Amino acid sequence: MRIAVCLKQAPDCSSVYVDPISGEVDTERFVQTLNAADACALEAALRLKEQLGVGSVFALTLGPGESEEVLRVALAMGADTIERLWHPSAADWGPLTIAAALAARLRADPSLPDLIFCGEQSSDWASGTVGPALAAYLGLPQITGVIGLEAHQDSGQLLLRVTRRLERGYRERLLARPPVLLTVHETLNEPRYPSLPAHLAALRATITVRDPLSLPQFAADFEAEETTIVEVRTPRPRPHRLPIPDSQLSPFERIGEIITGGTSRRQARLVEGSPEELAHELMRFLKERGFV
Amino acid sequence: MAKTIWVLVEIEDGRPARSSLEVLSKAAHLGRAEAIVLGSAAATVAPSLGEFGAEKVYVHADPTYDTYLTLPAVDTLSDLLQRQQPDLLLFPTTYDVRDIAARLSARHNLGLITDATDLRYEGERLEVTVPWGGENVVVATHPYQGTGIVLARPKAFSVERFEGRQAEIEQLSVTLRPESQQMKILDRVEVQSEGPALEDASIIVSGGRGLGKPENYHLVEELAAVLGGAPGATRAIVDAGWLPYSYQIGQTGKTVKPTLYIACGISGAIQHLAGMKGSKYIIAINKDEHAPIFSVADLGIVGDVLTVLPQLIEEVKRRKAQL
Repeated sequence: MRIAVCLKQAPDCSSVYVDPISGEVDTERFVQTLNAADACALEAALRLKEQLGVGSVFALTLGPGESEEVLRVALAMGADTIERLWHPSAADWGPLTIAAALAARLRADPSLPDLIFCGEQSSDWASGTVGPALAAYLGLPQITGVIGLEAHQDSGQLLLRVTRRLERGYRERLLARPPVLLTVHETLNEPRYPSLPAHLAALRATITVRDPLSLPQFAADFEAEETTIVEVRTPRPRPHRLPIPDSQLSPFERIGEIITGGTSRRQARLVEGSPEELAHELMRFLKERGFV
Repeated sequence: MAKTIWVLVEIEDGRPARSSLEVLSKAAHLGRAEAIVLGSAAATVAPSLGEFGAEKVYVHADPTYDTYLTLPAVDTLSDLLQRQQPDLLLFPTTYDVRDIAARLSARHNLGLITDATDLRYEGERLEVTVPWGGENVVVATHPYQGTGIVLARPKAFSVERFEGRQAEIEQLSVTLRPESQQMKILDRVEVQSEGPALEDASIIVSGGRGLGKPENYHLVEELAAVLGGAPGATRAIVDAGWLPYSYQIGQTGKTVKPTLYIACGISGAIQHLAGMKGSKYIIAINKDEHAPIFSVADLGIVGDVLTVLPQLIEEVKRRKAQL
């Protein structure tokens, strides 16, 4: 069982600081780390390998020199081999070109991996399209947004029982057999903390770097994804018309009206009486307005 | 020349999905909107799409899409793209459609812009607004790129009616490729996650501390069930562990705007009011006549929820039986 995991270095969500006045994100404060969903993807791959007792995990990233950090984390966590792809022009690549580069690298091996794991989306651009586009380039099916994963052996073949997240709180359960590409949601698992010796060993590892443009199967159409930035603007909050709070109210209630958006007060008709009378009154209200 | 814009319309419980209709309405404003509907319910859904802005609807009523949409849909769209060159594919952002868009763009080298909150044509140039961080970035595509795909953020556009518009319907005769159906996906079950669909409910019955103990919450659920609504809760009882967080309404929970909101045993903390005061009608049932909830209610019932609710449930049931 050969498993490949595609990783990306992305800003740690807790390091994102939005200037309260300008509304701008302070990119200087970003702490770059292994993207949370990608860490879960790697963890899922490692657990699968451990459960099966055989196989190898290949961690791949496309990024500048600094992003070797994520490969060292991957190595410390238990990846067998690591590799970095980079070309200076890649800083401007969009999701499609990135997917094409990753596909070209995976195709450079004699055979494709049995399973490919990716994070569902990154913390910065979050397009969520690199995974499915990579699957398309490799001619594999994909299952995106994985939030549950169990592996079974079924008459010598690996069978994956996968739960996937859909809209409106729906879930989709699927049975899948390799080869398949899975994109993992960051709630799938809790990635392990590597031990200190593993960390230290990973620091000394040499990392292979390849230029994706030199890969024979890399066929990206750079023009397709090109866009020009026309304008960057800070959105203004929508103006809100607030009625002047009633001066008869206590300060607590007046502040309450302002912070809750201060829609005009309704005049509640208060009704008292026996439970029967009250229920009757309720029914009349519901009937008059067509609810029953 | 009016731009031709394709919209992939997803089907949800036999009806066109709201997210798809939002995008269809936007497409109809930008140019000539053409919808593509796939799946066994496609034929019944298609005629209604004219009213939402479609000039033309491509239909492929094949049940294959019902069980697995992504790969067959990519094949069908791909096939259609070889015969026609629309200017733009404007799709709603849902998990399945995002996958379809990504695969389609990889297959045909189409530029793909995700998470759009607005878009417009400036001559031949398409300008798309994409939020990034705290900013709105407007990016433009280049005319030489040809057809492109834009994924629109849900709720970015509103659903509009185009009264009297009739869509021309074209039946597609695509042969679905067996490789795309031989997907290693053998089983597909949809299970609804725990918790009510509060945001979509037109009637919400919500309970608070006034219910006394967790066992009494079933009254709220029963009333919601007989009225065809969804049950909700205040933070107080969610924090107390009566119910999961998905039920919570208020500043730190869900913001709801149903037609009718019935607050049972809820005193009306400001944080709760913030999440529900936009409701059209509010009924509050509370023992304490000075409870702040009455200040936002249309009808205030001063009484014990534990005696009033069973009475009301009975009356509603009796009424339903009569009709």
